[in-house]
Amino acid sequence: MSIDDDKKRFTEIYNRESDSLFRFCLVRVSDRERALDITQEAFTRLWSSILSEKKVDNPRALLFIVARNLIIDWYRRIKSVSLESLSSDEDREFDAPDPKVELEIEMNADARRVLSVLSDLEPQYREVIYFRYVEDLTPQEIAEILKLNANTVSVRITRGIEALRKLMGIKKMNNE
Amino acid sequence: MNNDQFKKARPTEQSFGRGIEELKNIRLTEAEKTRILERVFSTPIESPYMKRTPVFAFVYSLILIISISGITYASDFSLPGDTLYPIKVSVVEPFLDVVNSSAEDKIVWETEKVERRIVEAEKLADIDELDDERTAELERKIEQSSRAFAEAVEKANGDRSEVRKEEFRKKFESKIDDNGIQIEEDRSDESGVLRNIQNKSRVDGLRRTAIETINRIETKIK
Repeated sequence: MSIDDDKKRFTEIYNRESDSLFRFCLVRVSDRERALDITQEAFTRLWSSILSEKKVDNPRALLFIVARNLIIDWYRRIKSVSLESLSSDEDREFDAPDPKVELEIEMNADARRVLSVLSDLEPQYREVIYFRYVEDLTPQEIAEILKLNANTVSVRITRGIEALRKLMGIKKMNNE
Repeated sequence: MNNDQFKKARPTEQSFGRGIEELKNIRLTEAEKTRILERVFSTPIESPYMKRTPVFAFVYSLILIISISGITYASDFSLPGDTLYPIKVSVVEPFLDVVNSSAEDKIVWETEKVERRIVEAEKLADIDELDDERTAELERKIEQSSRAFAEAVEKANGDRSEVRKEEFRKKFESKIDDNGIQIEEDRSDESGVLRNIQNKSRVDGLRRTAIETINRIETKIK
């Protein structure tokens, strides 16, 4: 495959995934420039993989995995990290931005409330709910990104929705 | 709305759906999109071959070491006029000059060098290739080494007795005399006999050069 073919293939992936990946980064880091940097780095690594003829079966999953790890690294750099949190799996879960912070994200009140509710969810549910409902990823794709079993992801989605409904008071309203 | 109020204002199912849709509208601007793509394509990507650098470096180093060792070893047997001879006298030996920098080591090393030149002369004589040019080249080198030997002996001896100096001298002389190469005599015709005499005389001349150079330097130092 020539370099032009590789570029064409990469550009197709880029056009398809860039908004989604950028959104994922922006929502998590709450800083547009940082989100742009991470998005660029993730695509650069994908491009590098393509050029080195590594087999990339699921570029979308690869992009999210890379971006997710870069974000985790970034958080680790800026936060004071305890040894306890370093050894904890929860540390690698989704970090929803604090809605109190003045985000560099142009969004309305509904969107901000969604993020606020997501941040109140247990870490194991936050990320799957985000991927499933904002990025429209399948449980299989989410499983690949989070390195989990697809069934586990499905269960987490179901439980996450229940938790979400509780947080939103929907159950209570229905009971009433 | 303050923060507490914001936290309390939970979304309804409907507004949650709207919020999700709103989140989905977060996109890159066209300018950002183009810029990132351009930067990705212009980023120097590490060649896949470079990722194997440690392996390549090891293999290349190994090949280099083997090659250098092989050439060095082969050059040790070379004679004036051979392709590898310049490596022997211009690379390997100058390196050993540096290694053998102390006076004691220098005495041994310079003796060794003179012996090497005498052996080379004998080998060339044996194959009847000790011509004027090669003899002159060997003579020049023997002079240099003999001078260096005599100077190193003076330096190593210092204020001590002449006995030690004599020991070095005897060792030197025995080295240049006793090298085991016998020049094959060609008695088939008169010219062969003459060549033998000439060859032997040239080798003996080189031995004399060594001794005379040492004597000259010793006298000069005294």
